[in-house]
Amino acid sequence: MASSSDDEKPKNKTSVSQSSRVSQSSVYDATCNSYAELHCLSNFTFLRGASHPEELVERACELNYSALAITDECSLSGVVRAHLRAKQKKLKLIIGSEFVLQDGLRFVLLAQNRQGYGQLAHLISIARREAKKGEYFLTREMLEKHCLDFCLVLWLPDNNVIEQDETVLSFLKKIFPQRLWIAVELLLNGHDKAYLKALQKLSQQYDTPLCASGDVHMHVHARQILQDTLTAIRYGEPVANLGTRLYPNAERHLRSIPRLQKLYPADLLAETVVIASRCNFSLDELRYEYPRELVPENHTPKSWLRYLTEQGIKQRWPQGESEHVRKLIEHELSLIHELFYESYFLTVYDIVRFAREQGILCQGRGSAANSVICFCLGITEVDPARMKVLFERFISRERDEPPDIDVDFEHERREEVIQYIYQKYGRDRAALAATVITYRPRSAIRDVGKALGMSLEQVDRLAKAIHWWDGKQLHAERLQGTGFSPDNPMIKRLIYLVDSLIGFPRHLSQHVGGFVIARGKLSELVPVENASMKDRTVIQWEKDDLEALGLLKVDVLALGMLSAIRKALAYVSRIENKLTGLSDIPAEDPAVYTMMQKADTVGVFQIESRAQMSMLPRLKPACYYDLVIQIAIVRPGPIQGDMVHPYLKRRKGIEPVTYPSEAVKKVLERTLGVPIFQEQVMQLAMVVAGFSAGEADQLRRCMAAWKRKGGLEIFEDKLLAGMSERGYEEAFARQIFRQIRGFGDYGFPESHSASFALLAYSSSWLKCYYPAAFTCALLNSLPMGFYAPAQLVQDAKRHGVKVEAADALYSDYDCTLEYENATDQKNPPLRLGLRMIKGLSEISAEHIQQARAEAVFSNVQDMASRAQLSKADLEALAAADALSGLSGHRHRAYWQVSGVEKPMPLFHAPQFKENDVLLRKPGKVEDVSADYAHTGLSLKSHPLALLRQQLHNKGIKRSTDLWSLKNGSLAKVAGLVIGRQRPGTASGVVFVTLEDETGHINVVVWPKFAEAQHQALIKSRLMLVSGTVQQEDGVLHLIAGRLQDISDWLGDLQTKSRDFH
Amino acid sequence: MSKNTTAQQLPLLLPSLNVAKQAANQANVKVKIKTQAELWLCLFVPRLSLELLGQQTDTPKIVLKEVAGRFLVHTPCDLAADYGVSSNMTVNAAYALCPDLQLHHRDLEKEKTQLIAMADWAQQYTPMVSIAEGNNLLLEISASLDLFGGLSALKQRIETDFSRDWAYSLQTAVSPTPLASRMLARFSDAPLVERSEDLRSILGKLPITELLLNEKKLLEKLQKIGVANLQDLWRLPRASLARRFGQRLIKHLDKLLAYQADPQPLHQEPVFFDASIELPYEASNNKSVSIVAGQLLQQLESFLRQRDASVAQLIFRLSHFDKTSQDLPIGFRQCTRDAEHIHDLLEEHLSRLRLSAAVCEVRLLVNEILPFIAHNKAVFSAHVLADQNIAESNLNKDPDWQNLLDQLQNRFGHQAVQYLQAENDHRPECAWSYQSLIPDDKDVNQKQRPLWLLEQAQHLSQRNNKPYYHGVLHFISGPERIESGWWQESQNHRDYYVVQDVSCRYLWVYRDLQSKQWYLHGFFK
Repeated sequence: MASSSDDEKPKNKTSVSQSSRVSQSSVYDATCNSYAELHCLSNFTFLRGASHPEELVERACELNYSALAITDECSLSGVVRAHLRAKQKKLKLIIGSEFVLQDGLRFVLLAQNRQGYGQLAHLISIARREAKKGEYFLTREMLEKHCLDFCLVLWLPDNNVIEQDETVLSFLKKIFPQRLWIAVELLLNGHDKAYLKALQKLSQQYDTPLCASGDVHMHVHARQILQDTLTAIRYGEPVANLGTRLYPNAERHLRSIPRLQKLYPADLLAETVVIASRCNFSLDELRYEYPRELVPENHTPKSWLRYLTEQGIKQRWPQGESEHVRKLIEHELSLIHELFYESYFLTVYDIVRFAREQGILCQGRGSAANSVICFCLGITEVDPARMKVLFERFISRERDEPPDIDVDFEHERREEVIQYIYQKYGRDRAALAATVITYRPRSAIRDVGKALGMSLEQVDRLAKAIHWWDGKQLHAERLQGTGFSPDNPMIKRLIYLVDSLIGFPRHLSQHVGGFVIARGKLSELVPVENASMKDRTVIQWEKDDLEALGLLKVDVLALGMLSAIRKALAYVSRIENKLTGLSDIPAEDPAVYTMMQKADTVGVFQIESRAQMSMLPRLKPACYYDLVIQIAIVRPGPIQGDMVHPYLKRRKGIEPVTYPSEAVKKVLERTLGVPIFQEQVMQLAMVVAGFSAGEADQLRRCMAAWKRKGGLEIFEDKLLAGMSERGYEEAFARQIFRQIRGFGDYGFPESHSASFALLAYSSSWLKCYYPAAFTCALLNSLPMGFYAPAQLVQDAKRHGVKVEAADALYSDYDCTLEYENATDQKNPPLRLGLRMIKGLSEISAEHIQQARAEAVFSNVQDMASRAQLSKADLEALAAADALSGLSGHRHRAYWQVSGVEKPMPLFHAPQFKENDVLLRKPGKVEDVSADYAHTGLSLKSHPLALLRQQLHNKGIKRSTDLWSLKNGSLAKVAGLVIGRQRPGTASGVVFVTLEDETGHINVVVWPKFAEAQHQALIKSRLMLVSGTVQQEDGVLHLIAGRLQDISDWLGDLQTKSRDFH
Repeated sequence: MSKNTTAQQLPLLLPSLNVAKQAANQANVKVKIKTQAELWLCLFVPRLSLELLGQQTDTPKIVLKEVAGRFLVHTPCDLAADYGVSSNMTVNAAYALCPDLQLHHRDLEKEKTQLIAMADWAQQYTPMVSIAEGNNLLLEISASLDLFGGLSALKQRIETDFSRDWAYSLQTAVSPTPLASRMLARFSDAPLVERSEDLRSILGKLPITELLLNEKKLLEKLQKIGVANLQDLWRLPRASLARRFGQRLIKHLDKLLAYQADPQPLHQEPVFFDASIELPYEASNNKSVSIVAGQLLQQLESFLRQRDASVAQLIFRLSHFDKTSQDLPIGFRQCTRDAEHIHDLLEEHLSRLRLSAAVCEVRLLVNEILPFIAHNKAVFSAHVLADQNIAESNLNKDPDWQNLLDQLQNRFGHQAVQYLQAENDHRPECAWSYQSLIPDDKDVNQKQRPLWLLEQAQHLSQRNNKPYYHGVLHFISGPERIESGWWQESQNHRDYYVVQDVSCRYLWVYRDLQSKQWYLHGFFK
């Protein structure tokens, strides 16, 4: 056994408790009343830790701990949250991590300074990258190789075993000379005294100090129940089966200092404070350093940004920019320089430049995205001339808020952009941000139910009882009708546990597109681990964490509408050669706005939803900024915040536009005195309640997270107090707060709305002038948007587009425009592509296309052998009625297809002489059903048209008939359910959209009817509604009375409803 | 002295051979078949799973089945059906329609037992009885027609008897093939089909979904070419059909239409052992009973050896002259066929038995015969194993030791002789249990625990805030805090200590953390 290493000096060994090597004995007196917890897991040690990092920090504060270390197992995922709360509570936070080596050796590493933090993060990255997602791998050899000069280590001896493997100590001592402690964790297991004695002996023998620590898994005693449940989930067995795999007691919580004093010798407690005093790292020290390669050699970031901007100005304003624009540009440039953000803009510019070179359509959004600079750099296409107000505060100097630019790319080509970033910066410098996947009601019920020993069938039933619109809490009354009694003690426990578990992190996933790019090694900034996708790595922090630390990230997002717009532009450019990019679309075309005002917007970006559509005829957007408001206003947030009607009333002139003060007027003038955008709410808080810029920013963060984490209450008091101080009425103050809460979930920033409005306008313009090309592009970019192919095709037909069925003799893989058969070049016939056929692979569709180009197919067998089609391909074609040109009706097609033989090696196409058989022709209903089943739509007839006689006999009206009815009259309608929506408002209204052969019907179901007819509401594919007609401003609603599920009328007809969250 | 032994072997009989001729003719379907045809009566018990639950009550109930991991309604009761609950609905949908619904899982074992019992019962009408899937019994009745006075009389008779003897709903059908009968039995108004020539036209009207093809895919394929009912199928050329949909379909149709034999597995009587010996004189002492029983056991042993079988329990029935009898049931810890061992156990019983009257007949009944499992004695003999623990656990497999335990349990009753089983639990009172079976070798990491745990912890008085038990207690070690069991209603919050009392005994005491009271829980040796 190796003895102590050379650099240790002999010391006084007389005292039994001898942890005094680094500390003066006088420290005891000063610190025996304080304690620092150095071994504490949060719930980011998944399925072990049972408290949020914030809870641990707050509790440590209440208990007057002098410091707290968050030491999640091989992870730093929870430290940013802990850091933020600790900063707020003024608690000293230490960053560390617990490790278990392959041979079972356990220890905690604590970062002493920025270097130590980098070493720790790097070690975690190495261990994580060695294992598959969610695991890590670390051996003594790896530990020896890795430099950990600025980390302290606490050895964690086995809890219950008094005899320890002593070689461990000499091993650790070698790596961590002068920086090693033996952690004594006394957890009332009955042998604490003997255990302490044994460790004291070891300590003497190896001249290594002892310190107290608590193996903390939860912030309070009461979390034991949840901790046991998490253990059960981890083992995948019911709690009752776990026996001694559970902890025997709840001692692993943050214990009060008086209790610790009873359990531990004073010097062991004092030593923790000594250790804490040697750790002096704060996450605030992390400073982001931008990549260097963005700037050519003879330029500085400043001069290069200036150069690029001037280039852009020449392109955007060939006749020269206006004085106003020049002023803005100079203002923005100086602000950017002042805050050192040049490199950020250059980073985004570089990505956008790459995309443009590759012909990938993109569009930036976010607080900084709609600056003139971004317009000049081509990051956004929003022309500042079309906006008056956005740019005044795109970066806030006071708030020191990092600029925020998200860039949307065509969804089918975003991967190219991501690969470019990896290739340019390397994998050790670029990685995706994580998304922490947390427990939601359904997953929590499943896991808790299983842990409590419920049968799979019971758990399944319970989980399904929570329909997606039930909000985020498990309500006892929801259990009614599921066969579970809310009074049952097991169910009570379940509800309690589910409530606590919701919001707990489960695992890390990759963020949709948030990239971090570092100048040096990223792993020294934040640990990097493997993602589930091959060749992807993610960092251990999520977007909010990065933002909170002021680290910059670039969001590289995918947007289906950009794909569709690019495709539509490409189709149209065949006849209109001037159209290549978004900027070529003429702005502010009145015909486009007229179309929007009629809510004729199926397929259009953002304003196609049911809620948006019913707002369009009321708001009547007539210019770009109206559209910006329209997009932001029709969100559940503003509805909850009680401001849609005030805005509408003011816009229509029914209500006067007033402002409680001049200050408020400045903030709200552009929205007629009604706060609509997130930016306005923040500004209001500053103007009317005296919030500082930083506080307003915190308020914004809290708004986004309060449902998940709570914590908005502190702002409520401050807001109300601040407002009454400034002489505002309490009612007004309360209304503002309600609006802020409403924003919480869905609050929409003006800066995003502005970019979305541009895409909404562009897509509307295409729909307005080139409906065939627009529909074709949408169909070729699916899945996206709100509508299924059937609705898009029906809408196109209503707009005079001739739609031809998918047919193996004529169709390509994609839908195509048959310009050669067009009578109107602007609106050629649309040929559906083979992509619409369910079960037909893309490759096979291409084979068909190629083989057909060589020679026309003579029969099914010929096609099958020349295009190398499998049986499954042929059946898919037959089922979709895509062989009608070759075989005739569907039954015959299927008969022929099922008789196709595999080609023999010697004979090109086998010939079988087979007599013709007599097959029944499919009926119309059957045919339409099959069309729906295999292509999702039918051009032959609408299912409701087939049922019309039957429906008519029952007095059921068509949707167009409703318009001729008076307000308040009763009517019955029936339609395919194409959408159900319950905005996250407290009111509980459900909106259902029905479709019949003449159009859509908007049904409003009030809560009491919704509750009583829950089944019909949720289950119906074909719904019969009796209700009252309500018409206003060109919007028609049917207020539902009775709902009936008449789906069985459809027989086999398959329809698809989109349920929106 | 007379004796009789009844037992049945397990042959698989194929019913009648006359279809073979038809099978030979199958290539040429136009040939009319004139031979004496089979006639299959199908007894279909559609609501068995539900009716097994007993009488209709006021609460609606359903029987569930599991299909691909999902639970669906198998059969709803009438009440549930009134609410709109129907077969193949999901459980959630059913609940939504009817919140008071009672759920029952389908008891396949019980259904099988009932069908076997019905098959036994049906053998009074014909020996050719078969159990077919989907709760069907198939009776080949062509040979029974004369005996029971013709088809309709026989059918009538069976239906009447069934409703008298069984509490289940019944639907029946008669046709020349098993498949056709099963198909037709699904309809309450199915016609009687006596001649196979009529099958085509009668079945032709049925939708192909009734074809009892266990292949959903094949059915879908047929629907795709527009085949809606069987008539559509009759129209298609045989060779083309075979090429497209395979021989299985053709075979199925051939069986359906009696072009091909469709042998059914014959239902057999259950295997059991029943032997008795009449005593030449009335025996009033146990000894004579024991001797006769010994002879019966020898018979049993050779019966079992022939079949490589064993028994788990048996009954000796002692009959008296007044027609009354006395049963002596004997059960074994391990299946056995050792006459000697069984005889020893019997003697244990007899030694405690008082005959209520003189015995005139001894009968040995075994209702269940089980496969024999040999003990690998040689390999695991104790001396080979050095490790004491393995030797001990091996004791559980040692037949001699097991026989001794059998003997003890038979003498003193099963409650009296039990094993101690260590349980993996923090709570001391849950950390062990009694087991009448051999305990598992659980890996229980036991802490220091007293050997003698009080059944109920004894409350201790306190002096100066310290527990007191016949004097002052001296604390040796602790506390060991145990807080566990919240998932049951017995949550512990206790601090345990080892203490020494004035007479130097080591005690195990705890302090309840909620009531702050002290209790004595056990004694160390």
